[in-house]
Amino acid sequence: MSELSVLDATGDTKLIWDRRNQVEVDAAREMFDKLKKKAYLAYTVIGERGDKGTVLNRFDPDAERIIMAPPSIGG
Amino acid sequence: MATAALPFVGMDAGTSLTNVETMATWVFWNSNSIVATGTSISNSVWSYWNIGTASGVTSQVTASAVWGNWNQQIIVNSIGQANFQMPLETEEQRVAREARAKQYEEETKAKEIRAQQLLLSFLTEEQAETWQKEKRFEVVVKGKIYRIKKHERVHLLDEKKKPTIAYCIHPSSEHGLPAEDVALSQKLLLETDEEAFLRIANATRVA
Repeated sequence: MSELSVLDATGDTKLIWDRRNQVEVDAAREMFDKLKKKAYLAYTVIGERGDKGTVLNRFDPDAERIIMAPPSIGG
Repeated sequence: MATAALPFVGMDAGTSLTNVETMATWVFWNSNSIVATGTSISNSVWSYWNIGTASGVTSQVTASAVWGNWNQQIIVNSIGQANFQMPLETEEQRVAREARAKQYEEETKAKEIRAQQLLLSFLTEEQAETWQKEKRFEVVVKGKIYRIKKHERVHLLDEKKKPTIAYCIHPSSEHGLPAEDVALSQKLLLETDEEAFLRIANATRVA
């Protein structure tokens, strides 16, 4: 199972998908694309906790964990 | 039309409006107008002005009501405080208000716990430990040490761990993220795209 976490006012909202289930993959991809259009930043993290992630520009159905954060601004 | 002209002539004649408080003032002011202009009967001046003003809008206004309202506003404004009495809260309203406050508090706590769990899942043991103790952790990017601290700017540290530059950067506030989410987004951006982080952040040299 893979997980997409979106940072939001509730802490985060999670969307789980099974890469073998096309309907779930499509739902996750739709969410990913929708947020990318809103300039959200997407990261994928592989391995143990604390490992550095990489920026994700396209939805990867094989990713274990994706995290999406709202666009950052200077204060 | 000479609607507003008569009272203003009175003002020019030396009447001050700074202490307008009572009907007596208006009578006095009108009297001055009468003397200055030679026009007679103060009530007719006021009525005429009011009618003229009202017809300029859409409807006829009762002169005394207009004057009463106007005077009331001036008094409130000039004193700077309104003597309004708020209606007392009923028992039912108090219970509802307290229930809302409790619900808000619980929701806030729940989202902080969720955000903290997510953040901790991205931290090394050392980072997690300092976050739990001091609400801060350090991130090493290309040999440079950055310190991320709850509700504070991100600091670039020197070799003695002394802050040298403060970077103000956060997810846009419209999303209302908990502080732990803000820290996580700072960490992820720093580690994956330091260039973008430095481009977006407002930097201030720390004295």
